[in-house]
Amino acid sequence: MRRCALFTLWILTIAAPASAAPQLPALLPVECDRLIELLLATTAPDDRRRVAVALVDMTSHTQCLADAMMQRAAFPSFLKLLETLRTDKQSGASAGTGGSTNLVSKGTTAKILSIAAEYGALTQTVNKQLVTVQGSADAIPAVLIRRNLVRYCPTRGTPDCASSTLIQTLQRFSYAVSFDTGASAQVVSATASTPAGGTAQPAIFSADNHSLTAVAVRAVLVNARDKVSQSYQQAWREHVLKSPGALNEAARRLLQSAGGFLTLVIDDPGYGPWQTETVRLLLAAPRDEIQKVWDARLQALVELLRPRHPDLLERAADAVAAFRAFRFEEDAVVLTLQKPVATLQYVYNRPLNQPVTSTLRFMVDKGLADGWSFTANGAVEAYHDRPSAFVSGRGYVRDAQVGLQFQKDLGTVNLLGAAALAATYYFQYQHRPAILNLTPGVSFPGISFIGLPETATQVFATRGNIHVGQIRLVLGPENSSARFPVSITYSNRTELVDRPGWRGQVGVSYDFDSLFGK
Amino acid sequence: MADCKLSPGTVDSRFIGRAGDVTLSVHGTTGTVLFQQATYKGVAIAGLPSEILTCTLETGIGDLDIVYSFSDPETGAGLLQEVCTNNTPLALVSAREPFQRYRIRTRES
Repeated sequence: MRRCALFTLWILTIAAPASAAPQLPALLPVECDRLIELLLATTAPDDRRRVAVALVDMTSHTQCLADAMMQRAAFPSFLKLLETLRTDKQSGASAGTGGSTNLVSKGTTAKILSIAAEYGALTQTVNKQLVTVQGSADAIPAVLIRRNLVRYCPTRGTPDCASSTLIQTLQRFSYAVSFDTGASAQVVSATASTPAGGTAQPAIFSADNHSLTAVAVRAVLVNARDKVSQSYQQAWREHVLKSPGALNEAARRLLQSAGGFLTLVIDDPGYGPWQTETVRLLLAAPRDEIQKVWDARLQALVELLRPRHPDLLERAADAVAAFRAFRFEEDAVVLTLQKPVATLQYVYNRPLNQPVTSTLRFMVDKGLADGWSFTANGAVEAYHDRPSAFVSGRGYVRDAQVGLQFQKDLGTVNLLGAAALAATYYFQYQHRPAILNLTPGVSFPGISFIGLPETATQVFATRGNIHVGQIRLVLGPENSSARFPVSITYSNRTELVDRPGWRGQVGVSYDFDSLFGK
Repeated sequence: MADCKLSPGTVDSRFIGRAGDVTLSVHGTTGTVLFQQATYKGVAIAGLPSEILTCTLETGIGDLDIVYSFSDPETGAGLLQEVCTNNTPLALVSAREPFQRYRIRTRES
């Protein structure tokens, strides 16, 4: 930072023309309020003239001009006009859902929508096929802003618009819904409705539909805010250069809209004389009157241009909207790169043939040097209903989980595209045994029971802590939002079977941010 | 390295100089700054977003419109320079005014 300031000072010093007084830098700021401050602070007549001339040159502060026009246009139609111009990443399931490649959960999710299909259990005994849809709470306002249905205002306190604070707050919340797409997700059972008699028998059918297997809500508690770090700036640069999509579109609109508005102003025959008169008045005004003079001259410019350009205010409002839309996309890039540090997640689990549970998980993500990152999870899972007294152990708490992961981004690998390799250790303290719910007379998908009484409605396994180690590789074609996670795990046991074993998990996910974000 | 063609201008033109190929760069003084999109005389300049911008200046007066993007959209700032022997500083840029129109007056080189 200090080096940058010294560099700028040096550049300004060597670039100073001989005629400039020492108190004024060779290059003047472009913001109108900073120019007014400079005009107030400058005493040498030549310097004051130079600043005043820069202030009336609207090519360097078009946003200031457009904002000022909108604020100073005190017509009855102004509010009406404003109304008409109102402008406006874990992708798979969490561990413990029975169909996931994620042994630990991460705080990052898709901003708009991602869909992941995964096969293979991690700690469960029966593999499942899950589809998980995830998104962030700011997705809907973001789409409304991009479609010009809601105005965006970078500063707080502006009425009738979505502020950057609101977007940042909503961005902290995300959701995930997992669907069991396996053939066993729906169990239909039939009970004879009359005593047996004959070859045809009436029956009452009932369906147990468990396609919705988990719902999760996440809240990012702490975000990494490091807009000055080299790693952030490098990531920002790469993001803007490689996927400029929405930002580019907003920039094109800004060029067109602000450029058109500016041309209308500076090509007007009254603009030159207005500049000359404004410089004269600014230089003649006492210091405490300079701001007033400037405000009055902006008002005079509006009144000068309006009769000749009936669409002046609409063009100004369109330019303001384009500036805000561009700022929204700039802020969106920053938010995309903002990594969650601490995240809290609540998961409501309702797996097929198992008691309903809730999991509260705390996640910590930390970026390390050279593409390494570290993720840690701690979770507690509890039954919604107290298990039967026959099940060993006491209380509602089912288990506690801890997961640690080190991941290395491998960058772009020949033929394979973007790749990341992760090593994970997971520990599950099994306080109460895993319980399966049985429906008498209905077979249990994936499990055969031998010697079980016909009246049994619950079975439970032997308790035992679970240790799992995993190596996970995520591949993705370059310039694509598709990802293909593949993992292999070794565990000392599963929730039901007390025997060590190797297992594999595969998946595919697609992040729709790149599509909807355009 | 090429000879410098541009220098800061006066009242009517923000830059003055000689016609021909020029390359501009933007150096971030607060955060990183990029040329996001630009047009010269209404024609889009190819190869953006980038840290450098190249275009051919025609003799006479022409408007170079640039939209800058900033890694710090709130307080980002930078310096526009010509890439040449002296790396002439041409203008300051600010995240608060991401759109800039540079009216360039050139004579034949």
